[in-house]
Amino acid sequence: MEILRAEHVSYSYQSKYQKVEAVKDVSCVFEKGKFYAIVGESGSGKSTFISLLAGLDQPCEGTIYVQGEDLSGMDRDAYRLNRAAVIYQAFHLFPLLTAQENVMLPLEFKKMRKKDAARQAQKLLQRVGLESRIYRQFPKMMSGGEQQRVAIARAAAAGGEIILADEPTGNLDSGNEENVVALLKELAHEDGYTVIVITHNQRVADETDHVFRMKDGSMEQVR
Amino acid sequence: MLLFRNSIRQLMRMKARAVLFLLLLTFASGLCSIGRGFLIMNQEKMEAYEDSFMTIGTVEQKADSVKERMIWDAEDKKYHIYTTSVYNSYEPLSVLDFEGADYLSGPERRCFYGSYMPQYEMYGTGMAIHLGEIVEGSPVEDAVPDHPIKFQVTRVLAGKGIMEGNVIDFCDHRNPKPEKLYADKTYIMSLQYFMGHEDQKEFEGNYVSEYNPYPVVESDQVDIDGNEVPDEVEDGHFCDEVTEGFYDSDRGQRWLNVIASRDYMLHIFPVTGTSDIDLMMAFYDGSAYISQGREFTKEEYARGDRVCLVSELFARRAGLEIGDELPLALMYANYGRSSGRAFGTNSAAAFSMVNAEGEIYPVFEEGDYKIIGMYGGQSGMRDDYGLGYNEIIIPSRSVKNSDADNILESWPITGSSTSFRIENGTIDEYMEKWSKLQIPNVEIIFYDRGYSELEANINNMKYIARLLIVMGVSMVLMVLGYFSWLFILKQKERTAVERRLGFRKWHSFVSLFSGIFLLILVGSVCGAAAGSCLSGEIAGKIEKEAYYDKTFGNSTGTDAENMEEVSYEQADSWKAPVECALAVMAAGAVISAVGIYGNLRKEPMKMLSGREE
Repeated sequence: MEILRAEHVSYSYQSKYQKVEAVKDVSCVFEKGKFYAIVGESGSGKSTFISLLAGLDQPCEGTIYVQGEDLSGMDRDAYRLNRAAVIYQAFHLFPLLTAQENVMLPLEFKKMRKKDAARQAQKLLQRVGLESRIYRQFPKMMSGGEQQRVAIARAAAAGGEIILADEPTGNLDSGNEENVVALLKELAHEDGYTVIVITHNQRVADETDHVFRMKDGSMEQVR
Repeated sequence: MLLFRNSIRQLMRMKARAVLFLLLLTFASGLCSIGRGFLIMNQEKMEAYEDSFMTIGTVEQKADSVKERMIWDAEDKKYHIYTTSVYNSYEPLSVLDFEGADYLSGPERRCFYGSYMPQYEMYGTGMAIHLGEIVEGSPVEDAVPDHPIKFQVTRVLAGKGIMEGNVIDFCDHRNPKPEKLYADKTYIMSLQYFMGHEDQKEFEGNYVSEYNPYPVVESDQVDIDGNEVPDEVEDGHFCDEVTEGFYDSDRGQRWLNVIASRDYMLHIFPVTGTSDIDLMMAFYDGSAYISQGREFTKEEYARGDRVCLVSELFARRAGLEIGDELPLALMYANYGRSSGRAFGTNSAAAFSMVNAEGEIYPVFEEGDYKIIGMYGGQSGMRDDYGLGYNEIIIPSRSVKNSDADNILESWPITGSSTSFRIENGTIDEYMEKWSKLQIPNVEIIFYDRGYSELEANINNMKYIARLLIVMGVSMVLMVLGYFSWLFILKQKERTAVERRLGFRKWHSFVSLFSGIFLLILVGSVCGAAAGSCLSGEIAGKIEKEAYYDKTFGNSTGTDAENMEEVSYEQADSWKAPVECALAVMAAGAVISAVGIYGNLRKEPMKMLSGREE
């Protein structure tokens, strides 16, 4: 089932010195329960495209549809809160909140009672394979892999349909990398999330169902 | 609530910084509050004291030169030399009308009038003694009175100090060449009691009193500039021989008028016209005060209503009450010595009541004046600045007719009669403008009951207050700036992540702002409250009591013995802390909001990816 579709999407911005055409006439479709990889060199426009899919920015041209609905006409804050979560290479956890509190925040923000949010957060943290001792730890006390798992759990806590991951294994060793990729794969195949991962890493790309390659802002499906 | 809780929770995870922020902001806010408290307190104090203080200037013309005056002394057989002031001309009051002189009252030159009121008695019987006696008599034997000679009084025409038939010691003490008096002739003369020759001791330690002649026949009438009005009669010699028909002659008639004027003098009351009783030194320094009724209103001054203030002593003795009318009949005006100097409690200066035409001065202004108030305090002390005995005070404009033909004495402007009132604290400004006029022979002395000193103290306190405010404000801004950088600008990523999680902009705003604002609120309120307590405490110690100089001495002098307490209570003690707390909160809110707005302006994706446009 189609969940995300980009039609002739272009995006450019003015950098300090020149106009950068980050995304050029990209069209593609993402389906529910599938695990996608977008590969390409640095500066090829992958991250910009992800931010467009996350509704953090708007395309200069073209349209992104979410289950057939034009994203530009939607409440994009609500879209991110309820339907699409983003994971970054740098984890971007709240440094002053514990692992559990990081996961609880989107739940509570969605008006879940504190007690329920705590229980749900613990479930999710358990689901991403974290031991309970980690729950009360602050991000700087955790390893990179643990932090990324917390980030994934927080993304999952949003309870949406789409997980957008920008180099989620970029800062991880190979052991953690495998665990995180496996986790994302499970979220796609078992929990029905549409997971779109940006990666340089061929091993990660090999684990996905479909691979898109971006070069100089243009994109082609390679698998 | 979640956002607020989340905000606080994250702030509390930076405990050390949050506590430091709180302490610094409390301190800075406290400084502002102390400063503001001092400033308000001193401003209010200044306003409160404004009514207690009054700045008046007195004006005196200085002599252009002095000249020697030789007076014969019959005992020492030589002249004694005295000096008297010489004024080339009298400066008019208009010298004080110059550009930039902003008077609240005056300037005015007060004279006093002599009001004849036969139904009231100015003094008891003692008065006549000091006015001297007018007698007829003859020397016991022919003699030149260049020393005390025996003189038998045959008739007393005025005065009660000598009885008919008395033999007195008589000496023309001040005359170097007295005329010989003959025992078979009768003379008329005005006598004054004098502690005379030492060689006339009757018993050890006491002088024998003698009587000296005193010229009274020639009129003392002058014009306003002090020029004598020509009188055909000259004193020439101190006495006249009384011959058959003498009292039918012009000179004899003049004597009779002088004798008649003595009766007038017992019923002459000093009356002073003014445009503001506070310009009269006695009221300014509080040695006289309104004890019953009220003082004149501005309208009464302006219209020149026939109302008056009388001494409560005189009112009691004369059976007068407030609301009664006093029939004033002004006979003469005196622009020379003050009424305070002229009219003592049991003696008065003797003026010639006869004008240059030989007549007793005619009444130039008369009317019934309603008593609207009575004054108590000192009067009749025979000092230049005090009130005369039984002095009556009226609005100067109530005297409509000219007194030009009824002037007994006229001197240059003196401090006791010429004064004005200016705004408190403007002495320097006034003197700067005055000094530019270059009128060196007119001296102005200011009296402000110590206002200048108090103002200087208060200005110092205000300066300190402003310094504290500047320090406090600078510190508040620095603390807010630094901690905004720490709590807000360095939290850009947090904002971006929240936005990425679907927080709306205002959610992110509240998430950052609420916690910080709570700290600002607590810090500013605690600081302001502590500052307020401290400022009250400190001010209480520094200036628990304020004093002002009650004397007339001079504008800056503050003799402790003459200090009077001025009570002061701060009207709005809540004002400073509330203002400070609100100001600090507003500054904190603005700085925080600007910082958060800066964070929110950036698209979260760009912030998180580190891409800058």
